[in-house]
Amino acid sequence: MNSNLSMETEEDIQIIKEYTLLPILLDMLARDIDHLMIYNNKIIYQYVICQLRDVEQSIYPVLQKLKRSMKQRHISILNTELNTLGVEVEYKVRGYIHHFNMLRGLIKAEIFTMLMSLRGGG
Amino acid sequence: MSKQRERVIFLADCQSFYASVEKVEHPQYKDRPVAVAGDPARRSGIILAACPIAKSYGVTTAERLGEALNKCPDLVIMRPRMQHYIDVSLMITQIYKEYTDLVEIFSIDEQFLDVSGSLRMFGDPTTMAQSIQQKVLKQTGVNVRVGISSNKMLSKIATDIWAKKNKSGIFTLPKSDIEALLWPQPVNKMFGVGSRMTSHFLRLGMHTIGDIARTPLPRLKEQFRARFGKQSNIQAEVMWRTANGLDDSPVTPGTFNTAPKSVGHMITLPKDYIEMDHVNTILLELTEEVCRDCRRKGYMGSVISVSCMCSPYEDPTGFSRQMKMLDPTNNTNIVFEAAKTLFYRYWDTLPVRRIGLTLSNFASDQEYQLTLFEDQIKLRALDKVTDTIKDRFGSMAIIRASSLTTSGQALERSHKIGGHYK
Repeated sequence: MNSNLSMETEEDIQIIKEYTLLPILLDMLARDIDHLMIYNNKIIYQYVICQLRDVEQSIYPVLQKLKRSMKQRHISILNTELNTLGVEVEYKVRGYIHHFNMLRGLIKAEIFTMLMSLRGGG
Repeated sequence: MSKQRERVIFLADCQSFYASVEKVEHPQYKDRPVAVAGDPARRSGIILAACPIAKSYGVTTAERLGEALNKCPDLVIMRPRMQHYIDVSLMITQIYKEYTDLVEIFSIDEQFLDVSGSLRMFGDPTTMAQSIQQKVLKQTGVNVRVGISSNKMLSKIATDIWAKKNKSGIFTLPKSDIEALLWPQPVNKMFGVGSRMTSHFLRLGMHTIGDIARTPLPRLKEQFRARFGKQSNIQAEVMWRTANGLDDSPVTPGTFNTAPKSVGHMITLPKDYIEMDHVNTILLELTEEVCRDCRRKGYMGSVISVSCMCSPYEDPTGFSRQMKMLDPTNNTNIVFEAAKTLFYRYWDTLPVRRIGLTLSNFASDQEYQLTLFEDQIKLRALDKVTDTIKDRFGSMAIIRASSLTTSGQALERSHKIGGHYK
């Protein structure tokens, strides 16, 4: 247990990380589904779209759960900015402002790993 | 008077930095040995970083690529991306700055943190180090090892000898434990002692760090003078202070903003250069880079140094010479003429493998000596225009015609940072 309760914990950072990456994953899924819709007459594409929609649906409850945890832990997001380098998040944990930055390369890798774990339902 | 509180200094070191960055961004290689290495075809085929799995096969940093592949045939080799590593390093520095404003960049993967003033906020040093490790790991995927002590030297030693080896990646070396922990260690484990210095110490009968620490300083200076000559007093004192864990230097955040003492560039050529024309092309390209850096920083140099290493690699010959120019300058053409004069005075026409050029003894470029025989204002205006074009459109937007010949390396160098690919 931390000697200082206001200090952010590993779980806090993990929550912020997931809460930052999941909306990016949702955007990517929506864009890819739109892209695949062009080939909707092909059965294999229909199957892939179905799978992607399942993944998409499984993300919303996870996001809701994260939001609840954030409320319980007094965490709030102040600002999220996507730029050429990656993503920058400004957030508050129990009254103290912190920053979470992630570069594009790692975002891509983390999202890929998340997608793998979400595949087949959350 | 109140007793001065002991400082708490961290040395945070990123584990296998380049390889870790590549590994987290390529999850498919998670369980495979990965190394970042240069291009053997361009004579830079050495291992720049190896992941812990690769290291378990015996792959070491600075080893030749061929040797590494012999030890570990499954090794995944990745091309370096220096600009990306710099971005990640700067991001890690930003994370550290959330814990203290006193962060000193020691190298691309090592930073000193003076956390003496932040402990009240973050708890004890170990908890704080753990918090830093977690935050860096979550944001970058890089493992950080932290050595904790009361000064920079001891925290560096704590990281190198213990934190890098233990599971938690954190080690505290209190000053009171130096005698029990540090002194029994062999001399080659001491910071600043390489293989050659180790053999010197062994010949002096000093086998452990404690042997150095317990030798009275005047006696050590005497022994150094007998071995290295009159100028070695400072070196003896540095070694003695290191062994005793003495270091009063503060953690200085602006290390990289201090005025440079010299500006230089060096190139290892992809093949041996024999023709004068070819060598001149390289000298001109190096001069252009050095002078452009000086102009950007607002300095003119009055001392020029040229170094050269000739083939073969196993038994190289070469020289490093310097000379004073008439007036301080950062004009490419003037410096190039001086560089040629110096180079051809000492070159013995053997095939050139590596050339370096440095300007030093700086003066501000706001005040300069006008001469009767040169139109300085015109020359400076020309340099300014080319610099502006390069700044705006890239370093290859305007180049010397000689750089377009087969001997030119400017295009290749524009894709690199520190000799490795961006």
